[in-house]
Amino acid sequence: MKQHTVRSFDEAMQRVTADLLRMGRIVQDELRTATSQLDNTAADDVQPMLDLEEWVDTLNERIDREVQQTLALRQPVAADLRALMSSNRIATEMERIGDHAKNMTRRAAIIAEQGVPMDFSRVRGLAEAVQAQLAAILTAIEQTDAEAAKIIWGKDAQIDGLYDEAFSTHLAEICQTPDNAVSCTHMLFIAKALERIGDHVTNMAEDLIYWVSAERLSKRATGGMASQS
Amino acid sequence: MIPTHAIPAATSSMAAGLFDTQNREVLSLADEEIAISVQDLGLYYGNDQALKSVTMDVPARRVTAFIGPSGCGKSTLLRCFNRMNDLIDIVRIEGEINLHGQNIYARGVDVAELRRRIGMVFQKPNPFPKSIYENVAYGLRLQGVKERATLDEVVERSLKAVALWDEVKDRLASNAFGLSGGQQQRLVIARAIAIEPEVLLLDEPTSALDPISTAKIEQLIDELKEQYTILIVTHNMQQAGRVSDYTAYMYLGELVEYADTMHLFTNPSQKATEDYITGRYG
Repeated sequence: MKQHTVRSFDEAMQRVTADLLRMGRIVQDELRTATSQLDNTAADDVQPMLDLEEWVDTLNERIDREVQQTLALRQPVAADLRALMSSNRIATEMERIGDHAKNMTRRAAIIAEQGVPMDFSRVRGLAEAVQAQLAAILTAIEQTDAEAAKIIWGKDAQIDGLYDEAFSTHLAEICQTPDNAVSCTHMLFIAKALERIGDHVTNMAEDLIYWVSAERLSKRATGGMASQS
Repeated sequence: MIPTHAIPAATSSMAAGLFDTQNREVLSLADEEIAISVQDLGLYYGNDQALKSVTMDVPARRVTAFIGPSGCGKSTLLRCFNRMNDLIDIVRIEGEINLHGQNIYARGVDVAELRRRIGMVFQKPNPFPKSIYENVAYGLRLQGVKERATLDEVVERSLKAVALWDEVKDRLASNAFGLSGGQQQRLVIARAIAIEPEVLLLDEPTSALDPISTAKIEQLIDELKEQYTILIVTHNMQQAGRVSDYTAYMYLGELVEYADTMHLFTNPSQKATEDYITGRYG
């Protein structure tokens, strides 16, 4: 896209995008850290996660402020307006992903405390799929690629499928070995957190599509893929 | 559209009224009563072509804004609607402008009568060097109205319509030049609507006014559109967004994009429009 006649307008927009991508990479680190700590006895070391979360909060605030200032001072329209609104929403989605990742770490620590060896393979498979989705959406945002976002959007059903498998596996485990109920319950919540992260990635994809093409995709409205633009 | 049947009964009391308010619908010219229809309008200043084959329908009792960079032809086009360009010797016009189906450029059209039906307000307030009262009554007097009661009634009604009555009712005999710029502009609009035109042409009506006077004029435009078809040329794009229902973007004498204002400012169809409204011009 051509540059704005007023250069500082471009600079403000670039700051938002740069912070958004920075935030995305940190959230990616949070999810990676949470995943790697799943079956790790060092899982009670939450400090790295807290440090990352502080960064996420700082960036989220910075994006919020920059968006607000740009709206107030420059009255953006059309693609600029959509970019700012979508960036703000994407930042909120990222922040929530961070919260879920932190939650995973906390629950993994409790599982470790129980001292019962657990099979993390289902949850790990789900985590890998979610990580791939997150990585893909960050690249799509970097390249403002709505087509890539649509593909990511369409893959959420796979995440849901993996979640269902993990859920039934660990639910069955609770029934079979009631002694493991505490660990298994936390395992279910970890799976749920990952499934929610998948949903946030889907929302990010919707926001990016709107940003680029003004097209609104929504799964919730109709239960299926529907274009409302 | 949100499926209303999907709301569980338990939340229905909370949801009461939820669907009473909707986002503004995107307007379509297909649903509008058309007041003015422009067909292949071309305009030349000598050899220079200022308007190139402009074709558009202007909806009745709506506000249509014309935006575009200086020299794009928006003011020239506006002046075509009441044949103001006739006053310039070197101007040549081709094509048609139909007001309710009648070509205003046809032979035998009474231009004075046309200008009564299509009033105009300019960038700089231009009250006559007369009293406030006489400014508003001027058009009626030209038409031969003499009854004091009729004149009083029209003056009061017109000044009330532009929200100026309360400010000037005790000094109607004072010279209009004593009013502030914003008041003068509202007075000029009162003068224009006193003779009950069908269409109002506003050529940058607030560019010489402060923000408060500007807001008053914008509010006035919003009220006047219930009765009048309003066409406004403005350099202030936010103003076009605020006051108009439809917006036309012009560039180098051509109508580049003409659409529902909300649509044009959120998702313009043309790259050129997008570049202009987002400040990526030149």
